[in-house]
Amino acid sequence: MSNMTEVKIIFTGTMGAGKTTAINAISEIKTISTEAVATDETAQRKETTTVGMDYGEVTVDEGLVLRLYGTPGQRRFRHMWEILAKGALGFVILVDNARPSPLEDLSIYLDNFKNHIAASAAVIGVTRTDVSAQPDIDAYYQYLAEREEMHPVMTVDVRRREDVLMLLDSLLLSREFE
Amino acid sequence: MNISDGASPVEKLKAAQEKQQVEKALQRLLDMCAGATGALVATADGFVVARVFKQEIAEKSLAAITSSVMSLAEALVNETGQGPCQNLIVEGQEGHVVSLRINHTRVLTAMATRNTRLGMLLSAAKVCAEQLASTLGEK
Repeated sequence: MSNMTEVKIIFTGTMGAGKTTAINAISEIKTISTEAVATDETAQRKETTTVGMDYGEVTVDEGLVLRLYGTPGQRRFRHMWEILAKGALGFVILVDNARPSPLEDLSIYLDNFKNHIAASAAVIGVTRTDVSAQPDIDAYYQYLAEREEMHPVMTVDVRRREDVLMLLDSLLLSREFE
Repeated sequence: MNISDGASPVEKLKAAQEKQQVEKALQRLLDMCAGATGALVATADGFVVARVFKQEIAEKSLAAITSSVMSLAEALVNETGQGPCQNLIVEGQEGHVVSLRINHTRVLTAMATRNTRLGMLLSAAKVCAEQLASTLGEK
């Protein structure tokens, strides 16, 4: 246990994109969640929404434990975004591709966590591409290029453990290349 | 953004009715506890239902934070095996803040000046929450 390193990773992004589901899919401990009955547009897709935070843990390498924090998605919970982002070494941004403007949705989190991401790393996971294939991955890369930002982008099914681990792998890799 | 934004006319009417009922209950809370400076009811997911305050406050932020801290306090008592959570008490240098759950979907936050007895604020808030629970039901 003496060689264990713990790293804080943030799961953020659009409400309903699957932040809580992603953490549940990979956590080795019983996750902590703070769900409340949804009364906003979230309610059309699911009954509850995260209002505080999610927490889980996963070991990715011998000696490297990722502490996974999930944020609420909606902008009214910005106070939690600020609290949770402190000390994070990586950001997983999940975007729901079936919403009207996924790229605009993405910009909310890129803008808000700009300074944190500049000091660490980010990966973008595009969800629900089975419902809506557009914008495709190329469109995401083009959008990031216009913003003069470089982050890995991949489609994911957040219910699948291997998909979520792949996101984390590419996040850790992009940190190592810095 | 308010709870009634984007709602149907029937939902808007219901929201307006609820706002009126809650405002009355919050006013009673303030009358019952002399040092109370304000109270607010939020949805469990962070929207303002109604509020009564003696001074200006950022009500939308307060509603969102109320839902966050209530959920975190509940996670804390559950994780430590002390649950279920009955209320949340925060003592600031300038005053007290208490939060408690009315029912599944509504949360109450009330605050008072520092020299108010915490017990007075808490009991007034509890009475208010119980009244509202019976008026609004267990939704």
